[in-house]
Amino acid sequence: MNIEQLQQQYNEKRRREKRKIVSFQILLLVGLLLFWEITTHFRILDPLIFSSPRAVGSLFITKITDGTLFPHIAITLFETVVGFILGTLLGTLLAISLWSSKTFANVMDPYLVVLNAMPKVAIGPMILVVFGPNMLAVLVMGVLISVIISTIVIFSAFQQVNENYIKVMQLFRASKYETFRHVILPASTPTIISTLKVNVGLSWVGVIVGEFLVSSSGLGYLIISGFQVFNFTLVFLALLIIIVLATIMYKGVELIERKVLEKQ
Amino acid sequence: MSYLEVKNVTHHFFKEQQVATALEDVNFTVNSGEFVSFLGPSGCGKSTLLSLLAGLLKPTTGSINFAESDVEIGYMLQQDFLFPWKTIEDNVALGLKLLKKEEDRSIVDELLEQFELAHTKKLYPPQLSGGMRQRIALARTLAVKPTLLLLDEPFSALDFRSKLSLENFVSETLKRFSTTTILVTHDISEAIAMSDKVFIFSPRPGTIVKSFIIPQEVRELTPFEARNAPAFQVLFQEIWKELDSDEY
Repeated sequence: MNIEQLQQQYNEKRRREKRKIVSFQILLLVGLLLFWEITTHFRILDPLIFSSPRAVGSLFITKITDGTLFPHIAITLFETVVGFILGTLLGTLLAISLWSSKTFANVMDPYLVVLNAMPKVAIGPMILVVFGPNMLAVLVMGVLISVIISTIVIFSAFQQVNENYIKVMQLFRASKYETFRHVILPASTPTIISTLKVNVGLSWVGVIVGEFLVSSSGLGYLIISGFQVFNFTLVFLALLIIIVLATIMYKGVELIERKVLEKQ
Repeated sequence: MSYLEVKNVTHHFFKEQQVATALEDVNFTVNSGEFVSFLGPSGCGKSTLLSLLAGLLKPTTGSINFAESDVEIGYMLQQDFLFPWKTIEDNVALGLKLLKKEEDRSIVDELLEQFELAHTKKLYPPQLSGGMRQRIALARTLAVKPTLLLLDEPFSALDFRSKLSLENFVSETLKRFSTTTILVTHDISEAIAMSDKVFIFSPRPGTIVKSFIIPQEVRELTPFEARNAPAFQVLFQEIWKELDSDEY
C-alpha cells in the first residue's frame, strides 16, 4: 500500500534523525574527554590542577575497591533526598497556611520577599554554629535553600485557581478544607510538581554548601578536602559523581511528573 | 402565594475610589414551577442578581424571601466548570458529597442514563464536547434536587447547534422535574423560547423596566419550535424595540 510505504519512510526518516542526534551527542562527549586527556597529557593544561580522565578513572576504581567512596556518596545522597522532600513538603504546608488566612498571608508578605531575596548560603555559618558541625546542619541548609521559593510559587498557584471552580464549591456550601481538597490542591498539582524539579537542583546546592562548611563527610567534603591538599583528581571525581546523581534524580522527578499528570 | 418574592433590592459594590450601584430597586415575584428570564445587555447586574438569590452576596437594602424554608438552590454558570481532575461520575456526585447526601448517589446514574451520557461515566471532562459538558454540568446541578434553579447564560459559550439542542433538552428536563427556574441572558430569542415570563433589565444600575408574559401557545412548544411560531415574531419585535429604547 502506498500510504503504508510513506508511513514507513516517515518513520525511517525519524529514526535516522534520532540516531544522528545521539551519535553526535556521544561524539561530543568522547571528544571532550579526549581533549581533556590530551591537553593534560602534553601539559598544555596543568595536570596538577586539571587532573585527567585517566587519573580520575583510576582513582574511582581504587576508591570503590577500598570502600572509601561509597559512604560519602550515601551520606550526600541521603541528605539531598531528605532536604529535597522536606523543603517541598514544608513549602507546601507553609503555602497552605498562607492560603487559609488572608490576614496571615498579608502579614507575611514582606517577610517572604526579604527571605526570598536573601542569599540563603550567606547564613550558612550561623546554621553551623546553631546546629553544630553535623548532618543536621547540612540538612537545614538543604531545606532552607528551597523552602521559601517553594512556598512562594505554590502559594501563587493556589491563588491563581479559577475562581469559578471555587464558586461551584461555595454554591454547594463547601467548607474551606473541602474546597482545598477538591479544588485548590488538584488544580495546583502541576505547579507543585514543577517546583519539585527546581528543588532538586536547589537541594544539591544547599547540601554541597552545607558539606563545605561542616567538612566531615559527603561529596562536598571530598571536594573541599581535595582542594585543601591540592588533590584535584579527587575534586573532579566528586564533581562527576554529583553531576551523574543530580541528573538521575532530576530524571526521576520528571518520571513522577509524567505519571501524575497522566492520571489527571 | 408566590414562591419567591424580591422586594426593593438594591446592591452596591464598594471600591476604594468609588461605589458602583449594580442593582437599584428591583422588585419581582416568581411562582412555583415558573420559568422566568431576565433579559438585558452585558454588565447590567443580571449575574449580581443571581448571586444575591443564591446567597453568595447580601443585598445592601431590600429583602429576598422564599415561601418555603428548605430551599435548595442550583446554579449553572456560563461555562461548565467541571473539575478536569475528577471523572464525570464524581463531578455529577460532587454536590451530593458536599451536602452530605451521599445516600442519594443512585440519582447520578439515573441522570446520566436520562441524559444519554451513561457511557461517559468513567471519562474525564476534557474528553467530552462542549455541549456534553454543559449537560453534565446540568446533571451536577440537578443531582441535589434543587427547588430553585438559577441559569447564568448557560448556553452562551456553545456553538449555535449545540445551543439549540441544549435549550430543548433543558426545557424538557425542567418541565419533567417542574423546577422553578430563573434564567439570565442577553439573547432575546432564547428568553422568549424558554420562559413563561420575561423581565427586561436596564443597564447600570440594573433595574426592571418592563415585563412580558409569554402567550400560552408559545409556552407549550419546545424552544426550537417556538422560534417559528407567529406569536414569537411579534413578541421579538416588541422586546427588541423596548431594548433599543434603553440603548441596548
